[in-house]
Amino acid sequence: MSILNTKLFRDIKLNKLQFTAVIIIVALGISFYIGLIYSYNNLRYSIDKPYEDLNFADIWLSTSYISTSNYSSILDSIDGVREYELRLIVEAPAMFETRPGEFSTAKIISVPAPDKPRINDLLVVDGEYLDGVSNEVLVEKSFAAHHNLSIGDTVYIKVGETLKPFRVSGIVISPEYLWPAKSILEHMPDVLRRWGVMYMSQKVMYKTFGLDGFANEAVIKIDESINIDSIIQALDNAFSEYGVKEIVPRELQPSNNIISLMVDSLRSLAIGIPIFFLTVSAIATYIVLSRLIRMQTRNIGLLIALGYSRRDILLHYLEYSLLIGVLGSAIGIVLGLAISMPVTEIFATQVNLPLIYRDFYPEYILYSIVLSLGFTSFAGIIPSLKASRMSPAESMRYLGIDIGGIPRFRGLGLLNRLPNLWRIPYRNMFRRWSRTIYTIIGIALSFSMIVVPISFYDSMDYSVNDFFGKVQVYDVKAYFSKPYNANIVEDINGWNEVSKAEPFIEMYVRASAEDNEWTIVLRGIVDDSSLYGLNTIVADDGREGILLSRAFYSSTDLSIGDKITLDLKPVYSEYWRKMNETYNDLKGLVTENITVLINQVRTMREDLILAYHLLGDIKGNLSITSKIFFGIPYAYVSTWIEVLGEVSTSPSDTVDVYLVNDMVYQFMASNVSSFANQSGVEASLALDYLSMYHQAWNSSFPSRYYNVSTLLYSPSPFERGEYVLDETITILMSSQALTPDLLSMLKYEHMYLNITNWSDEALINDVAIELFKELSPQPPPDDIITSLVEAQPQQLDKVISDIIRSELSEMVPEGYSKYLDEVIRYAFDTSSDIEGLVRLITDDLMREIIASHPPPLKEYTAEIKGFVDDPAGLVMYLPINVVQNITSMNGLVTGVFIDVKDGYPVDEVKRKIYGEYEILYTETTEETRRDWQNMLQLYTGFIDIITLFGVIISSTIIFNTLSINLRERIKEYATMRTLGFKIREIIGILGIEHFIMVVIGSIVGVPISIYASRYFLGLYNSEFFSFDTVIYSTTYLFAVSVLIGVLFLTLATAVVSIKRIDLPRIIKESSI
Amino acid sequence: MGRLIILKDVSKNYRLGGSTVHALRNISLDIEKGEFVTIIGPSGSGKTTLLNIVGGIDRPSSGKVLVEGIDITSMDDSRLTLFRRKYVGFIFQFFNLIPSLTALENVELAAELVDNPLDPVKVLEDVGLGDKLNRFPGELSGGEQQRVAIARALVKNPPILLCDEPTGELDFETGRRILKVLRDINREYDKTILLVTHNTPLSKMADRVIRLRSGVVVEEYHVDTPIDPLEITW
Repeated sequence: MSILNTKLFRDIKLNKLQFTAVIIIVALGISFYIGLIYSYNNLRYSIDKPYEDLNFADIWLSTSYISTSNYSSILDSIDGVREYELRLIVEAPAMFETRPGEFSTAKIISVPAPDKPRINDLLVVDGEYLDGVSNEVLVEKSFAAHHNLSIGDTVYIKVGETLKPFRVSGIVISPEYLWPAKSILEHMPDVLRRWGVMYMSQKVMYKTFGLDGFANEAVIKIDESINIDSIIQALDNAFSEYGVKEIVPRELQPSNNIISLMVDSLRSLAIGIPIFFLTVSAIATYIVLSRLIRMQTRNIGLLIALGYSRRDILLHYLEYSLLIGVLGSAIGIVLGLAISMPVTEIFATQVNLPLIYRDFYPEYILYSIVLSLGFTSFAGIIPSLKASRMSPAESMRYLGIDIGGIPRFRGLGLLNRLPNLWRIPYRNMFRRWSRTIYTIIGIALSFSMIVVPISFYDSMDYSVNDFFGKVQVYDVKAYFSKPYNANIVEDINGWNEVSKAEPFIEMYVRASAEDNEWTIVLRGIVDDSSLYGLNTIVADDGREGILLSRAFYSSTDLSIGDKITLDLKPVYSEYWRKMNETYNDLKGLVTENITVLINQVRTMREDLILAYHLLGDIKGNLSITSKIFFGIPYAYVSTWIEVLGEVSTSPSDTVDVYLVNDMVYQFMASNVSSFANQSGVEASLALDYLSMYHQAWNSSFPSRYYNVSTLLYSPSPFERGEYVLDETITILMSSQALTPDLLSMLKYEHMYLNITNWSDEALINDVAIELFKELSPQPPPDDIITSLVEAQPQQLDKVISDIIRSELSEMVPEGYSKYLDEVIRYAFDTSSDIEGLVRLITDDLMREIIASHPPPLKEYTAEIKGFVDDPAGLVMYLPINVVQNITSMNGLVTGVFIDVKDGYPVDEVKRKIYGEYEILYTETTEETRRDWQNMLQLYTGFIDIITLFGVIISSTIIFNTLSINLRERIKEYATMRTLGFKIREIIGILGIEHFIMVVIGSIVGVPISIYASRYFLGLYNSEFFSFDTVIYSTTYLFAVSVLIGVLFLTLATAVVSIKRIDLPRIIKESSI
Repeated sequence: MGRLIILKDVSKNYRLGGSTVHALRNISLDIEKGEFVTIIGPSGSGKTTLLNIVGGIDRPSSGKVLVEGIDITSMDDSRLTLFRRKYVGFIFQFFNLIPSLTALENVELAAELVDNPLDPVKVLEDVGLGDKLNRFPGELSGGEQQRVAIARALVKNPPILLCDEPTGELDFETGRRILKVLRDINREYDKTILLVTHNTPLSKMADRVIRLRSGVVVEEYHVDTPIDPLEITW
């Protein structure tokens, strides 16, 4: 060993405390690096290994239900699809034996059984795999844990309206759900309260849900030589007509994506925090080395004078820092390997890893050595260069006592009135700027090393309290299974238990701005909501636009005034998908209605035709007797009117009515015989009847002469004819001329016939009508019979269609009346297919529906108005009416916020809303808060380790700085002791000086802490969860307290050191 | 004049490595009040050890030291501190000033330790620094710094001034002036001064000379006519 090396080791031995302290700092920085980077690699390995072992899929293809044969044939035809497995996935409400009455949505995935899946295999951690035939399910581990499920418990799955029991046969871990994420945005632990994964054998699933032979998802392994994007494109094209819902590559698979982000944040911390620690250690190394060099100034001068080259001096002092680096990294590596175990386990537990795989990564050992040596040699190079450039003559003249550095600040006002003893502390600070500055930097960094990790707690605590105190003010949030009319919110507002209810709309959409794209929650809430507080971080209230959550603020470059575009194409597609469904439903309904209507028309038509023919038959078959009895009076009256016209020239003429009557009789008598003959009726009967009618007619005139107008109008001839007829029949009935049969018929007809129309044809018709009504058990209304009886054969269809139209116009379903003509036309044409008509009507009705519910926009662009303090992922806020407009959900809501009145149990309201509406799930603020706190609890161990490191390092730095200062001033203190100062007075000076520096260092440390906290929290913040950087004043106080505590400890050691001062030697020596 | 300092059989041994070094061997001395005593001898003869024991910053291995009849060898640390405050003013070879205090403040710092100090300004004027009261040590020459150190020692108005090679770090001319200051103080303030030096010519300015060698007083004599320090050459 060279003499210089001997000196090196002796110097280190002499300054062992300071060197040890710096080595500890370096070691802690390196141990942190190794600990975290090893944990990161172990975790990555522990994730990748089960992916490999359980054959984690490369692509998830989600579609509508497709027959497995079709599915297979398409997949078989796609290049690059190496292997696939088809699955049936159904989401159904499930209730657990452990939580009766509460439903969660179970995502039930079909699996082969008793054989296990080839892709996305399951690891059974408890119980047994499915036998394939029993009503059993496997429950995903975290879901089972959340609901306290164990083997043998019963799960009730709602199928239709019935609850079917299934036995839990096993608890499993799936590579797909290492982190239980429903989607990329629904991954918080509270999701398990309402959603989870179960596996059911394919056969049992087919039977349970009646979907035999269908699949709606394929998990695919690809040929890695073929580009995955081209395979995804090919899948999209091939399945487009089957309704591709989603194609997800492995890197975007929710669980994998979230785990990767979490583990990657660990990697960022693994690099960021050690660099922070090593920077601190570099400063500490610099301070130690530069002070050592100053104290050894005379030695350096001597060494140069003796003939050592400047390079030798440079290397000699550089060796100090290199030795610190080597020792620090060696200790750090061992310590880091040790802490990587618990850190790996903390994270592995958090991300549900089934097994932890560890490996040795030599490259990181090498990196840590390089890192350590890099930082320490960088810290050592300046003082070493300074040493190597010293002038030997000047160096040797250096007295070694610290007289250099004249205080540039003598003090002001009160300071100058202090006793001289108390002037020393602040004067010292202004004596050697570099020492003061480095001490303050050391303290500031120490301060921030304590504050930064605790700021994680503060930020989490603040975010949770702030979120639940100011943002999520409601007690219950209920998501409906289907959109409800907004009016129901008024109903809920009327409940006794409810203080206030407000509607909301929530949906997932893609949003983009410039080149960035995110999946976000679009949340529409009422203006000035009192249940969901939009606590703005920054906002431009004068601007119209959208508000974004904190994650946008902290994880993106977006700022107020930027434009952001919502991709509503999926909503648009969904709208048209629903419209398509509506169209099909409507078409079915129209088909049904039209079929019924056409059948109804056809039946009516047939009935009417039948009635028409019957009436025709009645008319054709009216008896001659009837014709005589009803024809003669009519003919008599008609003839009488004609004759009256012939014998008079004006209505004022007076005529001999008996004469007119006789003329009529004579005319009628001559005609009746011919008429009777034609009809084959006894002429005598007709003549007798005519004679009787004539007598009765005559009798109806009490006088012989009448004014023509009187004869025509009071009463009218037809009224008179009717009266006369009655009289005639009376006469006839008293006459001996009638046979009994004829008499009976006459009585009958007189009784029932109600002849009002005395036209020839009309009379016949009327007779026919009356007879028809007699013959029909349920005769149609008179107007219909009249139309029929009057109808000419060539007009019959029109008459019938008019009747049907008239009859049905009031009876057809709403909206169909305008299609009645078409319906009748189709009904009359029995050969025509109704498809055309159905399409016509359905199209028309759809047009009306679309007009009243216009389609959503394909995209919506708006300016950013501000950012709100909501830590839960990427959320965009808009007034509910705007969301309703752009998504075509006018008047609809997807959920409701409820504030429960004080004194009413929240659970009661929860149960009530389940009872009243179709609820997808509810969440209470208390439950969500608990879930968040549980999740954040997972990080506490990790943060505690960082905090502990921070406290150790900061204590080390403070101790080091103070003890170096003490060493440098030892001669001053010795002199003071010699002068007669007491130890406590000297300690007082030392304490005050360093207390002032602790205070200044802490003040300087505040912005450093804020910046560093923001940086490190920024590494942890993601699009899923975003904290504001908050540091409580208690944290600052704690950090200051730690530093002051360390100061006191150091002062305690200083007491010992000062007590041990070898006064005779120290005051005598020129250099220490 | 009475006996201010009495050393009775004072010995001081050090352990150095495996062997014992006898720094002082059964020294017995009486120092009169107001005396200017020079202790001379080669390096390692025990001069500084003797001075430190008298000043209460070192303890003898055996024997007694009485100052004004008080046995300081039996004092604990805190009483020794008080003893130093009241009885002793030290003047060191390397000045040992507090760099963060001005000349005046350095002197005042010592003055604040006692109830009836001298006027720091006057003392500084007396040592020839009336125009540099507010200079920091870093702004003063070696001689000036030593004058401040003398003023600091004097301001407490202690009966004893202990000077350990006060000119060791000074050039000849400055050294002589410092010695002159010390001699004047001795006379004007009636202070007992013990001056340690390896520089034999300095003994000519003293009232009494004690020569040490290997921890033993080998010669002790009174100087009948001490010469003016400014006349000394070396």
